[in-house]
Amino acid sequence: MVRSSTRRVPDRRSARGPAAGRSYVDPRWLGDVRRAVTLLSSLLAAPTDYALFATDLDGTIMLWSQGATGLFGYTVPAVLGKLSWWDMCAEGRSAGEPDRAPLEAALRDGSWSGSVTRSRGTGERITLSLVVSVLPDETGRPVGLLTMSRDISAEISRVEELERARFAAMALFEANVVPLATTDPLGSITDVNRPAELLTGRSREELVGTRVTDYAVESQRAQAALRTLLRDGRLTDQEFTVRRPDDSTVEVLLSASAVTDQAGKLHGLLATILDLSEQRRLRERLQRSEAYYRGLIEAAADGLITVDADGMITDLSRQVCVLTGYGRDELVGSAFADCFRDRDQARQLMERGLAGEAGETELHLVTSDESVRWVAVSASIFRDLGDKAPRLVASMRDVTEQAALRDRLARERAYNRSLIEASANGLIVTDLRLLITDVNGTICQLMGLTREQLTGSRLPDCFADPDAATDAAHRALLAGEVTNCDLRLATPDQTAVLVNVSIFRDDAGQPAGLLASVRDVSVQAGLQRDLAVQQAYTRAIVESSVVALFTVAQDGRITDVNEAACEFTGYSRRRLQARRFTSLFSDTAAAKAGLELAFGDGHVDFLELSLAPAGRPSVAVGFHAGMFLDPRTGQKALIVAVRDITAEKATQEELHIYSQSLYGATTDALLLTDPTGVITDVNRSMEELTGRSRGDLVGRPAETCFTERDRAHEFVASVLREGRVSDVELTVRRPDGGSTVLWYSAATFRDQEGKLQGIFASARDITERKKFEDLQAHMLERAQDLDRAKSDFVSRISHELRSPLTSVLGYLELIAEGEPGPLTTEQRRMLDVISRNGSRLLALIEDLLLMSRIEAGTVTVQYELIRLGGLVQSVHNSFLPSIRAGQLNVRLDLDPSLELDGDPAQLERLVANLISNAIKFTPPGGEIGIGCRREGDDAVVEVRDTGIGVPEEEQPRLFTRFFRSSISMEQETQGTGLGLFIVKHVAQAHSGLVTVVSAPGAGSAFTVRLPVRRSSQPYLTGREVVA
Amino acid sequence: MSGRQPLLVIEDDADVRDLIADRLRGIGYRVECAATGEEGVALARLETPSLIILDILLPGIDGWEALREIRTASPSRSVSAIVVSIVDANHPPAVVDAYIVKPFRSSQIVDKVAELIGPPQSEVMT
Repeated sequence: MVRSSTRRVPDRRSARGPAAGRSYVDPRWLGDVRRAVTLLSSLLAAPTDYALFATDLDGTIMLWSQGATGLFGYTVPAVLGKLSWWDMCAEGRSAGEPDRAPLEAALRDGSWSGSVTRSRGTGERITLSLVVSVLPDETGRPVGLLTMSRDISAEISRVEELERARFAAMALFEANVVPLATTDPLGSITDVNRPAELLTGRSREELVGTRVTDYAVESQRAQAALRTLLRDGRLTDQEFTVRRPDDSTVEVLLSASAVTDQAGKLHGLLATILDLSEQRRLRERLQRSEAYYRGLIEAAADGLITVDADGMITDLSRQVCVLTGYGRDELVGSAFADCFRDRDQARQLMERGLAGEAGETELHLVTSDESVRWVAVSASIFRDLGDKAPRLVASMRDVTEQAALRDRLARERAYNRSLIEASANGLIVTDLRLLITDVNGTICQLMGLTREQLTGSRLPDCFADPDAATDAAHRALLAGEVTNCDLRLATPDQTAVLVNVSIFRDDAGQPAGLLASVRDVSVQAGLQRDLAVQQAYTRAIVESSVVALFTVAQDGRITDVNEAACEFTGYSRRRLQARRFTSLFSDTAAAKAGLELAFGDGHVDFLELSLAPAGRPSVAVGFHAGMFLDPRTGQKALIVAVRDITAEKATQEELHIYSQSLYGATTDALLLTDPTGVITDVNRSMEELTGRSRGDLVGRPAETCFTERDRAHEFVASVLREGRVSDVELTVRRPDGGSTVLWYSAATFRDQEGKLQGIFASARDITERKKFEDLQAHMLERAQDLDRAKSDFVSRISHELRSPLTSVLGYLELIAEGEPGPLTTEQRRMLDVISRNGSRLLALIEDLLLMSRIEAGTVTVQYELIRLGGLVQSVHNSFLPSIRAGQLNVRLDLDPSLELDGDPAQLERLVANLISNAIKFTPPGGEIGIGCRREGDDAVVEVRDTGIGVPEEEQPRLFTRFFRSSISMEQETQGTGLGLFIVKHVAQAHSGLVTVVSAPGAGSAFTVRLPVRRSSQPYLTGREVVA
Repeated sequence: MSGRQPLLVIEDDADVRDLIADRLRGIGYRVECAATGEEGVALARLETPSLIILDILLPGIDGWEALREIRTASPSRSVSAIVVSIVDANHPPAVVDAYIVKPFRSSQIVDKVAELIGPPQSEVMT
């Protein structure tokens, strides 16, 4: 099948061919016919990719080369005179007619060339490039056709592959979700994809053919970027603002690369454009919320600690520092378990937290001052986004106060017990329903029952006449107490007893129960008989008490003591029994008053006294006393209990201070409820937030304070259910009709036995904070806008100043060269002044431009190999007029061979600023030393002067923008305060650093160190100043 | 003298344009001036300059565009170009023969012109 059309070939392959008389062989070589045949045969036998064969005019093959065998797969014997042109057609002989065309064309035009498809002996199809030419006889008459062909299947498939690749690239371009644009080498857009259309707000038709820089708001920077791109071949992450047709703008991040072919020829540019605005908005929002949560954490009354998977503390809130007394730096990086006395328990808590089990453990905290501090700690697992390893956040709440209160309660109970036990009368304690809650040993003995049997039964049931007993109890409830009721115990012998019943009250003064004192009167004789037994029993009870007990007679003498009393006072029993009770105290008068009170009222619940033990300093003690009738004397006597309350007092003090600080000083509003959700306490902040007084709030169900009662109720319920709840937003209703939005965090608290005691909630008013944060963000944004606008302005103006300066300096140069005519000396002097100031203006502009680039973060170092000595010398030369004017001596010490990689324009500014400063700040007659040398891998530039110097306290600010030293201000030296800022940044951009040694009046020495070879390693930063 | 190809200066700042033209005319070059890119392109069609000195930031089409259009016209296909600009470029793009940042010394322009197209043809040669 014919693939290409007939084409005329150059005439040297015309029909005249070899018969035209041109010989292709040196006749001496051709020799005789045999030689010619041999030559032809060896040509035909050559192993080549080219297939050569000839046919007669009918198409029968008459000549077949080795190359033809290789190409078609038919051997010579199988072909010659047997096969024809058409046998090798891809479609076989049937396709012979259309395939005549090449033969006829060759006969008509002398030759034909093109490509055809043929089939091999194996049936495989191949594409051939074919040249058919006419074979003439000696007279020039055509006798056959000579065909030369080559397999071009591989080439064709390569071309097809290339087309497929190009097509795929186009599809890729279109299908890309990232906005893409291609331009020609000069920056005219040649293609954009759909996302690029969306980003720019312009259609492909509008964009193609326009200049890519036209769409950047920063057109000058865009043009500079385009040049950078053409120069470097690539551009990465440049920020631009794209202007859209509706005048809105989009912040984009542009990366681009030059598209070059294999020969390095530039075909165009490919740019990817990323929309930054959305990313930036997200980032800002994230930063704001991070700051906010940090604030919340810091403000929480609970201490919060984050712990990594290895158990190390990674972060903590301020409250943790308050609780532990350790600084943040001391805690971060230390092991979490080390914060507690019982490390194992802390580790178990962490393991439970990692396993996702909630729960609170009370742990003894290690504090810096070794004070006792208990905290309730809970740990829960959390994961950051993208954070593989799980971490723990632990919260700790100070429960020292609760623990101490519990201890005190337990102690008081024990003490009350001992008092009850110490009574010679039978004692029965009941609640208001008359159910017995406690009894002493005496009553057990009287009743013949155990304490367990009695506890829980009804008081009236202890008596033979329950109605009379009930009546007595009711009268006691009404009157406060009844005395000397004649009753009989419910014992087999119905023991006659005299009963006194009185109400006892709780801390709040509310009736809590009844106390019945039962005295056996029926068997006075029996009592006498059993006196010895009874006394021994009492003695045992007294002795077994851990509290120091004394019996004191009416005359104030001690009649008896227990072992604890001996231990406590440091006196033996005998010596104590000889003393007056009051002599044991440093404040005898108070002790005497205590005894008198006890004899008067029959009892003293608590009195603080100061006991003076033998040979030891005084201790604070609690004095408790009850009156009894001494069976031995029949006289009134007191049993007095004395106990050490030093520790208690200290704890109390601490608790007081702590609760003061907790309830008073904390900015968080705090609220305490009982287990049913009724408010039991609030602090001032809560009063202020809710606009209600403490008195108004205490006793109310917590949920009635909120606008959404259902949500509040659910909040209380969830705290009770979960144990703790964080950051629940609730709106508090104020009596004035207003409302306040609060974030609540709450947790339940329990006593030692795990019994629920109530809810502790802290609230935070976020209204103001939110307003403030918004304002802050707004101000920051505005400030940044202004700063950016200012930088843009400075950059634009500085660029624009270059044009007028060109004319000024250019024409000055022409005049100075005498172009318009010769100059007088005076004219020349004046021109020098203009010229010098023009150069100063130029230096100023260059500094401003460099500064605006530093601020925009677009300073790039264009590295070249520089001879530093030559550069410093030429900068120095440009200052010669100023040096002469200032009458300064300059010593140059330049290493002429010193070479380094650097940006010549930037280093020129660096050196110029150092020299200019030295000239400016050195008084006439002073000296300036300028040097450059190599030290190791560093090039060192040094500029020292004998000028005014910089005070040490100002040196740290020396390299900041617009800084001017106090001395230079006093002397009203000109300057912008940009010079050293630029020196520092140029040095840093070259991975170098600048240091200064200076003293007021003595001068300054600036040293710049730059790596000789380009380096990406920054020099020691933060050490710009070495005084 | 009329057969000589001129130098073309495209610069919107009249003073800078005059400075360059004065200086080059002073030493014998023929100089044509244009204040905008469009004017420069039109002039180049009429005059076929031997070298173009142009600013980049121009009103209307910018210097790059102007240069591209001038070079599209076949007689000026390979015309040399010197850019004078207020924008820094340490390594000028390959499409121009020289890139000079303002302010420049006029000798810089003169030297570069001489290097690219040779000294001004003297009266003797015409």
